[in-house]
Amino acid sequence: MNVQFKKGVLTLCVLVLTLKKDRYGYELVDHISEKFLIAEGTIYPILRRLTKDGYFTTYLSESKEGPPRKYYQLTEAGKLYAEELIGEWETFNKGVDQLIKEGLDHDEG
Amino acid sequence: MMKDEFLKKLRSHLVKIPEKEKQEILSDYVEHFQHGFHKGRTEEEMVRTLGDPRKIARELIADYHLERAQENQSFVSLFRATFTFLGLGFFNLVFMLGPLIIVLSVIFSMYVTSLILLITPLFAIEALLMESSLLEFLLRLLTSLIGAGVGLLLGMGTVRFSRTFFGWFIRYLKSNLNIIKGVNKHA
Repeated sequence: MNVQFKKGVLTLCVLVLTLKKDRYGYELVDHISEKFLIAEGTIYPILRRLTKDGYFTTYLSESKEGPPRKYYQLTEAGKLYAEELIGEWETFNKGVDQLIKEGLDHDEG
Repeated sequence: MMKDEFLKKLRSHLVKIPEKEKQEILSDYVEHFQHGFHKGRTEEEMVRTLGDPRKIARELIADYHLERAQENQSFVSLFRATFTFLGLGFFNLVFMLGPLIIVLSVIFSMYVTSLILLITPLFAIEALLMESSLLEFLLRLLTSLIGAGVGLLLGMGTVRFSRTFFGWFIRYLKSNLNIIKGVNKHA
């Protein structure tokens, strides 16, 4: 898959996953790689960039079971950005769906 | 490849990035390994699924230069970011290189012109030293002061223009990180 496209999609994924609750890096990687194949190491640069751009704040939390966790929390700007990207994705997705439908219809007819 | 080798490679590819940031970056991956081990994953499997440390490093370097360019309005960083993005396979940026160079040369020549205009009053003083008449000197002084004024305005305009251009170009580079936007721009 095209690098740029994938990056955009992964950015959307981490933002969406943190909408309802704060999550730590490994958790995010785990969730996304369950759905599709990714180079897991590419998530961390994305998280870093989003943090530097002010979309995330981070905090470290010790856990009783397992290693300490660096949590990512969406800021207000992050929430707005997530909404913007979701909107873009929906428009894009709708377009592709329509094209697929048209393609299949054409095949059958 | 094993965990230590992965981390070592990543570190060695993170050239030009300050030590503090390097450590921050590496600690994210160390944490990743710790969590993976906790889940019972093996070193080899984790290293394989993490991906190529060189590619990861390149991405981080591109982001770093972009951030630098944004903070310091540094043209060198802007160029570096553009080239690192090219290395990442953002080939559409090739078309931006020509315009980028043209705009940067225009900005540069505008700065030079305004600087020359600013120092023209010095030439009027030279006229005074050359034993010319007082009238001629005053005339020269007047025109050169007008020139300096124009130079000052031009300089201020250029500063403004280059700031605007900078902001715009950085936004453009960033939008490249999110191609969904590019895909449905016309929608």
